[in-house]
Amino acid sequence: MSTIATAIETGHQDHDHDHPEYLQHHFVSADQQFDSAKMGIWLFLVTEVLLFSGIFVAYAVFRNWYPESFHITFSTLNIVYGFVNTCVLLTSSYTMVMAINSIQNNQVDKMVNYLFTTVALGAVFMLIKTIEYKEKYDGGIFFWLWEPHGHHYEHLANVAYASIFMKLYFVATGIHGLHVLIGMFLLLWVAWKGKEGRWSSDYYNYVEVSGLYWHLVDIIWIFLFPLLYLTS
Amino acid sequence: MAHGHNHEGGGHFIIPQSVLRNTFIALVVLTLITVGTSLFLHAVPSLGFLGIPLAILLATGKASLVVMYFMGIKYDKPINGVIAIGMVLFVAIFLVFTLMDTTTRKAFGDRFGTTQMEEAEHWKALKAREKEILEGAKKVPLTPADYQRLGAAPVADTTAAQ
Repeated sequence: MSTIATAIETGHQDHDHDHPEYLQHHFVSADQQFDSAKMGIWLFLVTEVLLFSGIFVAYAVFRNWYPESFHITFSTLNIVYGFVNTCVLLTSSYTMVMAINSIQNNQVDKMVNYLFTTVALGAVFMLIKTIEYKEKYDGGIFFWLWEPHGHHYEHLANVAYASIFMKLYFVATGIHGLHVLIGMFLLLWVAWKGKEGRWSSDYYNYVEVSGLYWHLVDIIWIFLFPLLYLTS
Repeated sequence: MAHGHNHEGGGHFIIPQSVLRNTFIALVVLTLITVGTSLFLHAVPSLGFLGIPLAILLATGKASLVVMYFMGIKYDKPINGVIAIGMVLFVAIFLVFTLMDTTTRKAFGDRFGTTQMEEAEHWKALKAREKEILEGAKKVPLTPADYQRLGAAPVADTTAAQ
């Protein structure tokens, strides 16, 4: 039995049966609780994927209808930003998976460090995204704002349907960026609780679940990067 | 309670660090290949049609690596794999059926599927035709007031029979 888990006070004193603090009563065993949490997060991830599918399908439809506008509009995106962001997120997925590996081997400090690294990489991603958004904002393009000016964007004013593609770009990367932010706060909370000693190799469900969410955020970007930045 | 037991399909199988490291390297390599392919296709425009299929293929490969190894589906209970495959299936249904509709509209005479120049020309022609029809409609007598206005004689005696 892990001593870490029993050190936490949860008002469990009135018990006559013996089970770890973290095991909820509606589960038969800690294993079942873990499997249930994992399946639950997978079902949630399916709904997240379908959320982004709406955006991807809209992208496919409009790219098929107006290919000329698509190429002209998305040529204004900077491949370097997209490529760096891809590498950043891939690395953050790796550090996330190493955090899980650490807690599976009961190395709490290592896990916390890996989690902080993951969050830091997420912050780098958001920083680059902010720089990109700022460039567009300075060019008069921002979500529903459409007044393209400046030598980089002014030609878009004459391209029919260009605003559709820019809005698609903002919606896709905006909702994805929101998910990255949510993931960062989630992982910070998990790291904080880890520092308090709440997780162990016997009970790391929250770490596992947050990790799966973070990997999904990475997968979404893996698809967003070539479709938005690498138009041929 | 036993912990750290490595049973297949269970929740606590520890994926070896070498597997994780190699997956990460493969992901970075695939990203470089993706960028390289895109730059190559920019240089060879005649192969441009390969752009989207290759991009999707490489992205799917990378996503599969993340799902199988980083998310651990390979070592997980089969039910989670079924859920993951179901996810892909629903996205495919969504995409395929929508595109079946939107990409074939020209085939049934709808105007989508044309270039934007053709669209603009067709819109102009439609507006001209509409104008024509409205002008023509003014010349058709329907009410007695119309007959008066146009100076046309009534076609038949419409007074009630005596």
